[in-house]
Amino acid sequence: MNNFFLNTRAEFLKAKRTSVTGITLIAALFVPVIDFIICLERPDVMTHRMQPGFWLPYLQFVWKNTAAIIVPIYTILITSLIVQVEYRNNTWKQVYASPRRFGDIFFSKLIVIGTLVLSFFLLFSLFFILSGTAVGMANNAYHVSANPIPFTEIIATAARIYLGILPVMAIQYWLSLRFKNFATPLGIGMALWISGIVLLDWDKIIYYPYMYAPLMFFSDFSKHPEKLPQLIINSSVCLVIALLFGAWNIRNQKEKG
Amino acid sequence: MEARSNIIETRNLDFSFHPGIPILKNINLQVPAGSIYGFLGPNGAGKTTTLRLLLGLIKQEQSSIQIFGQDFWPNRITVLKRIGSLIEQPSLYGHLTGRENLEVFRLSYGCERIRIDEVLAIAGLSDAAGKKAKEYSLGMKQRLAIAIALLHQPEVLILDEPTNGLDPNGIIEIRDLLRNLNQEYGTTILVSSHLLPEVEKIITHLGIINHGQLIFQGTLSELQQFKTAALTLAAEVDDPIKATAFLSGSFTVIPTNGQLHISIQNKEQVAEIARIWVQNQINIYQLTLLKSDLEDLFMQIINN
Repeated sequence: MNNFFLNTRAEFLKAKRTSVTGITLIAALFVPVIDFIICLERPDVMTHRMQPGFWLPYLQFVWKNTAAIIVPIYTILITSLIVQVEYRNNTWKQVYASPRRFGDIFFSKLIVIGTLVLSFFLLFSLFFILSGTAVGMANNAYHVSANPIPFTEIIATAARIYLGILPVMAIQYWLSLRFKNFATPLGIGMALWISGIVLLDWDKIIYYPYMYAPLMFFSDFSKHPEKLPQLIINSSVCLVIALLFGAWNIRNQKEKG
Repeated sequence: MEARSNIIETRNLDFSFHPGIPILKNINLQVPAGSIYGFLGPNGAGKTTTLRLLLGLIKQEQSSIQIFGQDFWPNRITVLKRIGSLIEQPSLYGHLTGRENLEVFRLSYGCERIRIDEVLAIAGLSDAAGKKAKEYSLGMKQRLAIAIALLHQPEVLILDEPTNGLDPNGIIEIRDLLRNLNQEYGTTILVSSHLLPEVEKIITHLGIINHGQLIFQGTLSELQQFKTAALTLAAEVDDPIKATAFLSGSFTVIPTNGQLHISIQNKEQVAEIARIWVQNQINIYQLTLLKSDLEDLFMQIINN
């Protein structure tokens, strides 16, 4: 276990000075900044839309594009980038020739990706609060300070969408390990995501992992309370299957590095 | 250090990526403990594949590879803890500094932080430790890769063409570094190359591989004997029966297509044979030194 901890530290060190930190920051900042500008530029429309109580409508407003577009694209991109660090530097062979178990190699890198995706959600939630507060400071008509920040709802929404995106992360991780070419897992991931958008009204969409994150946000759980546990179960099962299959497949690859 | 004669041993090692197209055939590699073993062969002969099998980069769990007297696959982690390696071009994280590259692998090998400064000094990179690896010259990259391989003070170093692409100074630096490691630390070194001149000054043993087969294994002096034994002289004379009789006892003569094929040890023996025949009134029409495939191979490996 100590070795796994040290190897995970090594994996974090490999991500140092790569573009992943900047991309995480920009991805988390993008929509809160855009929506802040919209609120400042169109108070005539937005003051009405942000009622009642500002924060919950604003949370919905900010998460809408993020859950549908930013989160899937960010996860697909960041997973490929982290794995590409090894391919680009031709270092897989050195990793596999070091005294590390195959499971250790597989899961320690996965932890880095999982942590980056989690930090995106934390940063996004933080920027959401800052963006909302800035809207209130810039224009009193939104009555932001009169309403408490709904921390529970912020955390619950982020947690649901995070769980929804984890299967995509696991599938993309396996694809990124399988294909040396950066464009291949990225292309497959984007194609699967776009297909999901097209199929969003399909009654079996609940079995399509690339749409779990958007569904976690867009589903009306007050009208269909049975959907939430179903989505949680499907996401969890898909995550476990994708990880176990990925780890087994990579372990049994004939040639490594 | 293990009190064993061979630190690396393969028995009848076969390998193919596709059924029916063998890459390695019946390789019996024997690397003595404390040696610098040159693993030579032309490009595409199977050197890298063999080394990748030794390091578990190619999965073949039923293969008979013994390192430190242990079967490789059941003891993969234990064995790899005692091996340092450099396969093909250096594996470095270009965006990290030399020191950070070493830190990545130090964490994996679980060795003391002080080893980073020690291996930087051994590789002569102490002053460049804070520079990003992508800004290193090829020679510096090779030395950093060797420094990584040395981090955990391995008993065996497996290096695949470590002088590839280096200028003559770089080759000398790497050669001195390897000699030093072998003499001062007793490290056994298995180093591959496609040119004998690159490694002949430091190796104690060598193996020659061609078309996936180990065609020679031994010391440098044994190689010399083996090479000359491969020379054949083809002679055309007026009386082959009498000519054969004059050489019997000294040479092996085989009549072939109207010619006599004579096994010789060196080129001086051509003159000796000619002298015997001339003294005995045998008319010589033609003398040709035959080049065997094996000799062509030696020429490729031995000559720069």
